[in-house]
Amino acid sequence: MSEPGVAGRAFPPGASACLPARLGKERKTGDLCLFETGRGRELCRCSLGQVSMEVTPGRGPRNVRLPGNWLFQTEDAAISELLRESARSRGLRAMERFGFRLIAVVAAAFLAVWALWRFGVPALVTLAIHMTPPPVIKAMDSGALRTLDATIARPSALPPAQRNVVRRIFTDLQTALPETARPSLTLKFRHMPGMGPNALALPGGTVVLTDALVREFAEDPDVIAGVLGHEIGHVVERHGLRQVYTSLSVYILVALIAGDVGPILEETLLEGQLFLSLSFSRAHERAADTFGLRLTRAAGYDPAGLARFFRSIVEHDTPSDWYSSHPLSSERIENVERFIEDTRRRGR
Amino acid sequence: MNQGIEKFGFHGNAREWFGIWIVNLLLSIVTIGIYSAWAKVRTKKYFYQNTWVAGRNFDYHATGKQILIGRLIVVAAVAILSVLSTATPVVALLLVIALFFLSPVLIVRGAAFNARNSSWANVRFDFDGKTGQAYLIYLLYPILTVLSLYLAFPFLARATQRYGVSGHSLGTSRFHFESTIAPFYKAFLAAAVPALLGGVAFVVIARDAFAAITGDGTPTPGAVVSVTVGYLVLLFMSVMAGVLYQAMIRNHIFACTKLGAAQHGFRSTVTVGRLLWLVSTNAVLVLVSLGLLLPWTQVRMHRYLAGQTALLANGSLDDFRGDIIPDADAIGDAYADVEGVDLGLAI
Repeated sequence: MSEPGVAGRAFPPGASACLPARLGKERKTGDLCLFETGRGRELCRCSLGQVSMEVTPGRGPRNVRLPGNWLFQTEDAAISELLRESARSRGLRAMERFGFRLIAVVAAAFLAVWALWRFGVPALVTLAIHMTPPPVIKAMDSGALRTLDATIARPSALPPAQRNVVRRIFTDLQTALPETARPSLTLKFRHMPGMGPNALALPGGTVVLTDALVREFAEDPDVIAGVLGHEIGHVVERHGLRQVYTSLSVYILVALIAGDVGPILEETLLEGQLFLSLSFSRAHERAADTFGLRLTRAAGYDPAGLARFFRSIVEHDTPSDWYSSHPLSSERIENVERFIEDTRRRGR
Repeated sequence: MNQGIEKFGFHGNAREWFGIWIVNLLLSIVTIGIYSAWAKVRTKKYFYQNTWVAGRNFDYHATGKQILIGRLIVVAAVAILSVLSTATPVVALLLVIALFFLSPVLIVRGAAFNARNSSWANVRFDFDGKTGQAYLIYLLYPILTVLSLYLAFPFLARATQRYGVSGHSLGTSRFHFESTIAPFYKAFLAAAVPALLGGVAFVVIARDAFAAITGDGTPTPGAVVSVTVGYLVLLFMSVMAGVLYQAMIRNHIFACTKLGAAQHGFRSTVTVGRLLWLVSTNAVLVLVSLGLLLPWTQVRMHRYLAGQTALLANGSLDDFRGDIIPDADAIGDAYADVEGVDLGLAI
């Protein structure tokens, strides 16, 4: 004798015991009925709205949750029709089914990884920067300065006259910025033994110059302007914050999306992230160079000054730049020369 | 009373899992990580539902929404913490210390969420390890272990496993773990041998290279090669040490675990050679396939581990009972996903 409905197993509420059972729809009332197979004992009765089909990825048995925590489990695909499984759930399972179609999904996934890196992460980072309260950014500067002063920096020993020369260049550059995009900028002088001619920009607009840089190029304001323009570029384009947020979001995305890939691969991914952030940092240096060149020219200085600065440090170049946070000085000199060449051509 | 060996089995296959995995990945990426919460649920459901013992399978019941909320909270906290740490080092230090003292709570919360949302047949698991105990095991004992120059490490390992196993129950039936210290020392010493050999090999191979580097600053190509070779040897030996330890401890923990008043037992028969083969070939295959073989390697590992595990039934398996304990607070679970910190059960 064949009984109506879908064959499977029933588990009583919160129990491990398992009974052979059938789930069927009653003709008259339209109610769903769970019967123990063979004995015909009714285990549970309810309306269609009271049952839920649980999520089952793959082709394993389908679980149906009935009122009072009864569980019905079946291998019969007819259950999907009986319980009117949602289109979303069916669609997702259809998409996941193995076949040539999945090649398109694989290609889309690779494309999506690229798009995420190229557009998604930068968009997230821009959002995060806008959400960061300005006082926090200001606090970053004072925190970083305090750390510098406690570790490698000593008070500046520059004579006031020399400082004033640099301050004047700094003001010239600031006024050359468009009024709508003029962040509050502060200039600081520090003596940093062992750092040579160097400069750095902090996220909140503090620019630090080393005594060695000012002394070496005291007679060449174009060099000072070039370096300051580059650092102002970092501030205006928010490079410091971008790097903090980019490496953070890549770290979180790897942790959440890559999931369980094993210890060796996770190590590889995180090392890979280091190289990505280095290449990111080099891109920022190039962008700051370009910004600085435009700004120095707008303020009436000679853009070739920046190239003179790189020429003085070109001997520190390593054979290749892939494990460095800065591009090679030789490459940056070429970029400056190309910029000067371009402006000259456009000027005519 | 019926006694029987019920072998665990994994019924999933790589083709099917590949489809689920790649769709998970695609949807997670195009939603900038938001779908990853639902992807986690589908992943866990696939592996749980396809793991069977005694004719009944496991299941996972957390919802994507719960996981997403937990993850949003943890991600926001991590973001704020890292921004503040660049801004004010002092505040950041205080926050790191606070997080340090919060982590045992998060570990316990994560374990409870995971257990209460997992089931076998129609019975939910539970975890009710005491938070005070967690402070000892995840904060105090590790510090004492370092002070003992790691010689007391097996005591920490035993305490961790005992806490993790004995805190769990299936419905109202509790898991019990009891073991002498000797097997933990045996595994620890066995793993120390390849680890030390790897260290010695690295020093021997790379010694000349280091001398060359410190000499004039620029490494010769030969030096780079020998450091790389030395590093690969060290990597392989430390993986071997880890696998050796994991295999020995896993087998021992299953042998020492009992379930419920009926004292059902467990058995694990993982071998070091096979596990080492799986771990190393899996890593190579995933690397050369740009990750596309990852689902296949996961299924291969899961199938092996399930196939080497058995439940030694001591009477009927139909008598487990338990209520659903609702647990929607996925913060500890998300913390485990983001920071990789969990109970540390070797199963």
